[in-house]
Amino acid sequence: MDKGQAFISDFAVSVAVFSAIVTAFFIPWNSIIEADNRFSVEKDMRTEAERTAAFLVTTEGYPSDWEREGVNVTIPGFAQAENILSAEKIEEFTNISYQNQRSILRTQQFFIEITRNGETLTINGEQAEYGKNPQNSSYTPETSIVVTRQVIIDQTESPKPAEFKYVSWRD
Amino acid sequence: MRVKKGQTSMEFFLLFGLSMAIMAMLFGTISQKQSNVFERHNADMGREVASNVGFQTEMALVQGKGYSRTFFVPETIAGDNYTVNIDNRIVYVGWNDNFVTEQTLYSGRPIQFNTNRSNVFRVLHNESGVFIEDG
Repeated sequence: MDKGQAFISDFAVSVAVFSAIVTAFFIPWNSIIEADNRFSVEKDMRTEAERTAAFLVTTEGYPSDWEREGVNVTIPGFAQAENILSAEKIEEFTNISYQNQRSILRTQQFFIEITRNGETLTINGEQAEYGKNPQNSSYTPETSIVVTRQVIIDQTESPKPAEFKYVSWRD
Repeated sequence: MRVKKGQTSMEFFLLFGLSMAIMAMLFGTISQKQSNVFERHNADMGREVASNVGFQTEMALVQGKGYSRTFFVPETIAGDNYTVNIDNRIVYVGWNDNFVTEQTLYSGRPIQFNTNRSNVFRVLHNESGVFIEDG
């Protein structure tokens, strides 16, 4: 063996070991950072979804009479009093295009469902489901946040207790 | 092969130099990544402030005249005081040479404040519109 040869092969081995250690360090580190990124996105979405749901069930929206014909909604809210939802406002919301609904709710995709005892309620003769349901097989949601609130739907004949579900999701 | 005097030393310095170059690249990459993580965290914090302030002003607008609520924001972002501007449905949060923006549905008069004196504020809606003042 020439002089120095052992030194080179030792060095090669040590570089290989070192690279293995560095790789073993980098892979989990990278995945921690990516997980942190994902968590941060989810956290932001949850905060936004909770705020939007709060607006929808506790405020009248802005302007407060946005359900009237010819009045443009700036901030949507379905409440006529805190947690008591106006069937009229909900109905008016359905007349807004999905694109505009997304814009005023500031969400990528959304789904709203109003249920009682697990059954979707009927409001003004229509199923109380609005937006795109992420559970539909044609969608592939990457992240979805569900916020539920207990509410009362004020329909002229009989106010009904119900569960208001707001789902914010992205694909 | 005849080994000249000093050959081992030359090899040693060559390999030592190579190791140092690898280490320098490694530390460079690590510190770059770390710096990206810090920058992202600061931007996240800025966006959180913008989102919170947007929410407070929207709520004040929706609740109408007479509404008043105290809220607080972080004292600093990346160790610096920062400025918040709301204008034309955009919330701008700026610190040092950085800034982030978030959309808001608030469409009233422009609002501006900073955290130089306090991080506790009061949002109120009176006859003249929505204001944010030191809490």
